[in-house]
Amino acid sequence: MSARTRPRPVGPTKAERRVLMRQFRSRFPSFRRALSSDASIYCERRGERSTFRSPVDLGVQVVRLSLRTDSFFALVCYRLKATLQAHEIPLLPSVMHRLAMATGQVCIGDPVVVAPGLYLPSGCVVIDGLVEIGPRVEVGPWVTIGLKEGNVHGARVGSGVRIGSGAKVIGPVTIGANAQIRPNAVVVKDVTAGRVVGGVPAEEIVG
Amino acid sequence: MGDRVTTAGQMIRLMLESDAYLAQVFYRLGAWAKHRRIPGIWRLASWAASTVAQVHVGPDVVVGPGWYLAHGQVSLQGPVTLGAGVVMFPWSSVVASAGSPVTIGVDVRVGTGAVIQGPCRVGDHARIGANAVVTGDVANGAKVAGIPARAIGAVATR
Repeated sequence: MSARTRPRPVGPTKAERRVLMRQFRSRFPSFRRALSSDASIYCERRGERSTFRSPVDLGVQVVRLSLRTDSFFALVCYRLKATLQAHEIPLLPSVMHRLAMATGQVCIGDPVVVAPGLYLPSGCVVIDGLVEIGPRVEVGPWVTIGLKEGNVHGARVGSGVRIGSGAKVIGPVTIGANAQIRPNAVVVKDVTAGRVVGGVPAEEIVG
Repeated sequence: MGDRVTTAGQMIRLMLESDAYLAQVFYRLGAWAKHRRIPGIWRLASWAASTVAQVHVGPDVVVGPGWYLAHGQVSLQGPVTLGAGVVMFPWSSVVASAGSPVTIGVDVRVGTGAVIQGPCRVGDHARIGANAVVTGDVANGAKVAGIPARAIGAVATR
């Protein structure tokens, strides 16, 4: 097939995509800030000391959490990937992504913006699309935060949201701050801040 | 010749860039070796596929051409037959056993977290919703969702 007869790929061109990616990347948190907030929320939820005295103390805690917990090392790999991408370093981000997937089954896509302080009790999450995750969010295992067919915009998850294991959040929905999503729920509509939803499809649970 | 080079180039690009294609290549390699009765490769390839993108495929599974895994994270066990162009989203699984096989038609989409339990037959172009549990047959072009899965509509005819 010659270059002339080759069909033009659908969607944004390479140059357009680069501009778009630069926009998300400018919103990635700094590595140091992200890592210290992540370590802090992990320690807090594990019932341990969650303030760090110095950068050395933080480093020790990061190594300890990486060895002790199921998913912290994978999360560190993800944060490294995001930072490397923000600096537009080639190839290394995909190595970090593979490492995150292999060690903790944490698969977070390139355009996802994750605020500092994400808690993954045991890894096993898939997040992809134009998704925004607020600070201090907890995402249980086997959760997918993904897209609806034909729409690149995904969920906006507010701060302090807890997503139970096996729940799925699909399409451009907004989940208000401190809302709770029960295990195995399928969220396809907006969730009001502070409310609890569950079921397939997810409805508000009263009481 | 030019075509082959382009295809190989695209394959290498996908192995590096996409989440699950590399795992799928490992699975296909293992299946090919098993078919040719080359010892040892199947085990190694299965292990590689499950490590790289958590693609767990049992030895009795027949996967048709054009299988698309959005991110990997799927499990297929027992006598399962997948038609061409099946799309599977993360955390979906197909559970079959000797007495209860599963047959999935062409161009079926299995939503994230869905479970298909044998014995059953999923018709061509069917769509299975997120977190659905399919325990019976699904008609051609049907959309099903819920636990247990019930029909919620039909796929628009093209």
